[in-house]
Amino acid sequence: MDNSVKNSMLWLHTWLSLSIGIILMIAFFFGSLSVFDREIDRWAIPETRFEPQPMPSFDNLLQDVLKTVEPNEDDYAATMPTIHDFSAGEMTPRLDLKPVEYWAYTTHRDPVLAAGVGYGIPHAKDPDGHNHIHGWISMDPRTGEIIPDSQLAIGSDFFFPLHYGLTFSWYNVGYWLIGIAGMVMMVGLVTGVIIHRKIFAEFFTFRPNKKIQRSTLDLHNMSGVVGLPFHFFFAFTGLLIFASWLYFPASDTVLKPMHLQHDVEESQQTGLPLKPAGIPAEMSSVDAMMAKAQQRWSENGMPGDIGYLTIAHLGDKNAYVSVYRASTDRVGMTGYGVHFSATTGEIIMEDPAFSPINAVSDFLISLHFQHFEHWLLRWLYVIGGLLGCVCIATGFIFYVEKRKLKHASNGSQGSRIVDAIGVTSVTGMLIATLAMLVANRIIPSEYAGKGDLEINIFWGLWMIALVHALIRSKPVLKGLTNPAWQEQCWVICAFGVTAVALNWISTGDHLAFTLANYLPVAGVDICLLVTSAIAFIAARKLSRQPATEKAKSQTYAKKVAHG
Amino acid sequence: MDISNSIPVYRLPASVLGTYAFCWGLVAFGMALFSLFGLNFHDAESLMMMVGLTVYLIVFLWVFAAKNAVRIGILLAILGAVMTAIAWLIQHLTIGGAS
Repeated sequence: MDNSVKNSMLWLHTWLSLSIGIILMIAFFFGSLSVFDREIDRWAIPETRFEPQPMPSFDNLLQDVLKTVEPNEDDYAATMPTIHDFSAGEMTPRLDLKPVEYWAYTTHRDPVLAAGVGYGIPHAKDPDGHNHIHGWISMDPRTGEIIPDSQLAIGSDFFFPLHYGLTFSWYNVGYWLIGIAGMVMMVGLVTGVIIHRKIFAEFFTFRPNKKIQRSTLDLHNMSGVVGLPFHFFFAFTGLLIFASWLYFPASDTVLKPMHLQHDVEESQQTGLPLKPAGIPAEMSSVDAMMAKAQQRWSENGMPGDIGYLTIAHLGDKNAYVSVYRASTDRVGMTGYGVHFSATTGEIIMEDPAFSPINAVSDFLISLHFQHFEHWLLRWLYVIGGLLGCVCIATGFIFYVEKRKLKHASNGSQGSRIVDAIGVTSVTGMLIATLAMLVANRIIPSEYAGKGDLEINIFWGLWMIALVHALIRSKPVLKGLTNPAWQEQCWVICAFGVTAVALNWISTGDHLAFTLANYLPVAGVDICLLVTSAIAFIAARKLSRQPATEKAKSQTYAKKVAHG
Repeated sequence: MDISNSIPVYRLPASVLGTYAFCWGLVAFGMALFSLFGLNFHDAESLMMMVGLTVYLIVFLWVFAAKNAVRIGILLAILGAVMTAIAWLIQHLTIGGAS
């Protein structure tokens, strides 16, 4: 191959990956955790350790709970000034906003029901836009009891958003960074293949007992090649999920008129009103509609549970109720929605089958979301994701191993800094994660700022890990290993065991009990213990750093010094 | 050129941004064109998202490795703008809506 092409591929592979590596690590690691986000939620909120429930009655329970919801203060403060038309007067006060839509969502893995309300804006700047302020709650679907906001669902409300947006939504910067990381992952895979071109051999090559540099590269190549389809698929579909909203929002900008016209035409065809009629009307029994929808699915040969319920144009003559099927038993997240007129309770329409293009798109995106029930596949997702982390981490280490002796002799700080970032993105990230779980079991659940404090501890500990890695990085200048790797491994080891112990002490749910009675929590505990065990082995191994490495680096430095 | 020892100050932004503008135009153009020929708007949208992302990866790698990356990047950006304009024109002609 043309040498300059190969050089530019090598440049991209090294420098793009290096500069975005820590973000990529976040995407892969917290993506892996998100496969079991609901299980982590159960661990973190012991009050919710009960079995998943079907969609509760709307008429007797949901409706009454939803009436107590208020527009979210933060959403009001952030959104209201941007969509309110000030020429029509002052903003409508938050508590005077009227609910116009309801939704409720449940899955086969989550005992907690998520529900919410959209509130209409009386004087909107753009009457065609999506003019809603939202309010939302989590509740126990058996009793309607609301789970307080202070209790952060660490899995689904922190690790999961961290995975796709870094929980940094200012100007969507977090989403963009993750998007860039996704593209860099694909670039890294393609350029990696181009640089090496020995794919088949690399499947089977791992020489753990060779020099660190050699075995690191073997592991980097092997994890990259073995996981290639998996990594490529997840980077691609991850980008696809956000593409039409963020990366190529043509339908919301240049082609907005076309989009609107299409939606108007579609609404005429489907009979689902786009807008309220402006005439108040009573709603008939939603429970009856839910039963009817389930009956329709049975008639079509796919009996199932209700996953998602929405009511649009609440209290209006045009109000309609949409009932969607939980996609527990299939890949696609299609809901086979049945739509009812809320006033008459008659079926307006049923979702038609997907067109081939949307079927493909839905299949790809749904495989990423994995809402279906398939435990073996879930675990393969986790293994694949962690393999991606191995690939990224070994990339860091290889960069350092390849250059540290050279940098040691010419006084460059390069590998020292990269090594510290490597420590931060591998062991530092684990420390932050585990510290959050430890904090979760120490801070009392009645404390109002519990969730925020947990998040601060997460970021705080991560920063401390970075500082620690930098402070301890001096030996890298001499071509030696940064002791921070080993020290942070010990911290991980201690935190993992502590978290499991604290879970037992604070809830009484020890591993033997949960193994027999509540697997989601048992699974989290086991993973924590395995993490501790691996960190223990790693720390032990690092403490037996070969004396030869030291000697070798000294001879090398001498040799270079003498020219 | 051998870039292994130099930082591609112009080459990188030219290939990143040029390719992005090109893909933006391609996506908008494709959506408008397919809609014009009767494909459902959201089908056209889904299709072009998959196409746009794939094309980005390929074109980006190609531009970055090309000898005259900066010139190609600028050319791609112009092409992207032209395609976006055509997309707008198609929309304007088919639905007559002002935008």
